[in-house]
Amino acid sequence: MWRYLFGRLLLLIIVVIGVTALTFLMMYYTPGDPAAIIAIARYGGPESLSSDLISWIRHQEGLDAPIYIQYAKWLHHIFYLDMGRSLITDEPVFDKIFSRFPATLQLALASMLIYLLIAIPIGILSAVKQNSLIDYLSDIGVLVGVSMPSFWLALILILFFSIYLGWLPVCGSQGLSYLILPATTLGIGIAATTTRIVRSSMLDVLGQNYIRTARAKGLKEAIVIGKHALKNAMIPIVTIAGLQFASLLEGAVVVETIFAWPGVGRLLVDSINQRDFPMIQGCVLFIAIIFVLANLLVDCSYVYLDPRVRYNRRHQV
Amino acid sequence: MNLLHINDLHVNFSTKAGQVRVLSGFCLDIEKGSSICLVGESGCGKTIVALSIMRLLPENAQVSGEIQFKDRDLLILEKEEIRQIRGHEISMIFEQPASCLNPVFTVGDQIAESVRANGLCKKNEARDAAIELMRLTGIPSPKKRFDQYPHEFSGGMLQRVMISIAMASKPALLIADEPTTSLDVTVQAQIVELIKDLITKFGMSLLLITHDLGVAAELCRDVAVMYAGEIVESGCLNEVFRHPKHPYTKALLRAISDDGLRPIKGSVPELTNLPEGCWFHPRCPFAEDQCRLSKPELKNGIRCHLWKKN
Amino acid sequence: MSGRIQTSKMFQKPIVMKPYALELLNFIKGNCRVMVGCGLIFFLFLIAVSAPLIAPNDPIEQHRGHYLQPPSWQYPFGTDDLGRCIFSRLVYGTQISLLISVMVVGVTAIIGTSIGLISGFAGGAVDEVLMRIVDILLAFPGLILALVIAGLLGPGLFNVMLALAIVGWTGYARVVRGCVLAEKEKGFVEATRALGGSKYYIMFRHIMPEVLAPVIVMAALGMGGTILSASALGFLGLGSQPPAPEWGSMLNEGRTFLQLAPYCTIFPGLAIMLTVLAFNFLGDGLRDVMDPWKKKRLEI
Repeated sequence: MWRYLFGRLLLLIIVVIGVTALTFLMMYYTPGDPAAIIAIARYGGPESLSSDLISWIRHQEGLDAPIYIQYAKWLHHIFYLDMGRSLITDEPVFDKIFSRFPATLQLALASMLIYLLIAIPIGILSAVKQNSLIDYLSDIGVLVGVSMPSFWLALILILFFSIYLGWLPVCGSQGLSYLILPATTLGIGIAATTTRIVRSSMLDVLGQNYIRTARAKGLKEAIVIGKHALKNAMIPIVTIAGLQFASLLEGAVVVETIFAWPGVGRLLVDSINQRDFPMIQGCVLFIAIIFVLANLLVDCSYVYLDPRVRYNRRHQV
Repeated sequence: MNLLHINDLHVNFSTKAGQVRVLSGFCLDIEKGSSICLVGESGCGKTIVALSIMRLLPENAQVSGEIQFKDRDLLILEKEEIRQIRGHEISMIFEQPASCLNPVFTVGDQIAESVRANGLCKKNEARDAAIELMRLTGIPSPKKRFDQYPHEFSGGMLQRVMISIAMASKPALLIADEPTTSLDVTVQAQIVELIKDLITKFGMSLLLITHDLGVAAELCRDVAVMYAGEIVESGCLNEVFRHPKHPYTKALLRAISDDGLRPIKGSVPELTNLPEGCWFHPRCPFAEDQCRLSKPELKNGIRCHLWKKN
Repeated sequence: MSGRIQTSKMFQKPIVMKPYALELLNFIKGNCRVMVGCGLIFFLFLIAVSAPLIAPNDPIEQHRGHYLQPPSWQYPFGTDDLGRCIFSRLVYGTQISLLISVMVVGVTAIIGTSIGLISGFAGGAVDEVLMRIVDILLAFPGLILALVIAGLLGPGLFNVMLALAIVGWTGYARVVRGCVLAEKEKGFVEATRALGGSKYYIMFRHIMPEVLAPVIVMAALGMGGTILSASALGFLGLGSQPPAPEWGSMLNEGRTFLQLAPYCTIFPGLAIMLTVLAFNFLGDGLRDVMDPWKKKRLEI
């Protein structure tokens, strides 16, 4: 178990260094002088730019050092949880991201709840009633679901529920009613792929010998499906939950932007538009950490679900 | 009185290759307390008989005929009614016990479940009942084993677990489908012994499915030899094994006789492409013109045109 | 005990009727999807090629006084806030979407397959390094990485394609490498070697068909995925720049007038969905037809 955790930690470090180094390199070589951005943001409009001011800022912020020194410095600061300051607002990046994180977490958990509530029942039903009308309809629903752009779905939901019916607020984050539309948008998109996986993994399990044994015991069909089949089918479902989490984060970027949801995704998009380099770097780092940790969590629940893995782990280490 | 009476059972599978006839006009009677064995090469439909009785055939199977069990036709029972018979009055054990137990639940849980399934006892008593069953089937230190998972058991122990599950309600009929096939020879003997003890102790009837004639001889009084989905010879096991009449039975017995292996020439015909006349004639050393033209009926427990001659 | 033959009561009580037709239907469904998908894709390419003939108006011409007009004969899908014909823009937008997806999928499939082949054949340190790079890329949400890359490179069609290509090749590399490794395991490779044949030649001959099927399926599904990703980036303001009629950015421009002129957003969204659906139909169908038994592996 410890060896496994260590391996994961190593991957985390490699991923963080890889991804941040890539972004760092790109920031360095792409248009947009950070010093000029600071000058415009903090000291007035473009007309106030003078080369003296810019070189002063450049020196002040350590931007005149070679790229590897800058990167090393940045990495060094990370150990003290210091991700630098925003070029635009001068706020500490770390504080900013952590103030935005609860909103993203709330959105992610809510949409997770929605997609599980949609995908598990429909997936099971279409597997149990394979080739029935339900199966066929859910298949079409899945195809439409995976082909639908989430931002378009968001706009259609707004159009219908907020503008025509006036039931739900268009955007913002003042309460639970503000969460419904973004979470639904995000949930539906992921529900489509999840339904497909639930169905195929359920079909796989239903063909297993132990399901026949369970039926031969005279168990009620509800127990055969709900207990014996479901717990086994959950193993692949949980395995891909890590990948689903990636789609969740990707979707969050778009959905948060549309619904003006104050999460990390929208922060990233805003920072990109403003070329706020430390903030972009901070968000990338943060998302990498969250993603790896989520996968770690997935692996742990996997161990809980499958006693064979538990057994092997115990005996290996 | 017959406990089980199978009459004119036909089973077809609809597959991509078309309709496949796996059982045609299968008839069998099992008396109360008797033991009968179905033998034959793989793919001759032995397991299909068992699954038809349990109504556990896959959905693409079409079944007709009748299976009378205690004066009820199992084939026309409602789903709920057949569920109450499964595991309660008829139990089944399978080959490859490792794949037949659910890997994510403890062994004890799976035994206790079958005790509870038919309302045999209260929830809190199920554990004790399950441990009692494990003791009955000779699983050492059942209290400790109760909380272990199938992958922590050996093949022989898993088959004992399967038998515990089947014995939960002391059924009237036990169907054992190749119960010893995947086990070591020494373990096989133990399992055979266990099944033998249990059927005598509780007066159960046994329907054994096997291609191991040794196991059949050990456990059963009667035998039915199957070929390509129908019975070719049936009768008292001693009689059939000592004086086989049908050429197929003879070949089958000779195949495992003491003076080395003598395989039966050719292989089981494809069920989609059965020969004209007697289905065994392409492989039969005695085949005559008659055999190629008309299909023999089952008369006096034998399906052969020529048995009086030979 | 006795066995008796009785007068046949054939199919008197059918228990479960499962017609053979259903099985057949399942098979045709794959083919049928391929056909529908191919048909739609052909139709879309036709639109893209003959855009000047189909579009009733110029896609970037601003018709004064015709701002945000509802659908009419002159403007079948209405006009946007600058008085441009939405239908014509969508028709011309087909060119952009198909160009992006063909380019990105072409490049990623070729690069990914080559890297997978190299990794699988070479093994050892080369394999280790390449697969760690794949691991790193897969350990970060792809679209977000593409967003950051495209954002840093600056808006523009080429940059979007570049960003999507950087993150897109990993899937192909993994699957192809898996195929190569599976093939290496097989006995005949050893046997050929023992006979003095070239290991690589024989493996190549056997691997190409093995590799091609999943790569084609992934490419078909990847076309749809690429269009979705590209339009998402366009929606976030990173795609091709105005006045180019890119579907995602059209949606972005239209959403300001969602209440006033919903047709500005509804139609571009439908265009995206239809196109992605076409490729998904093709990909799904191909997967069913080509190798039903490998279905599970590709579904994830």
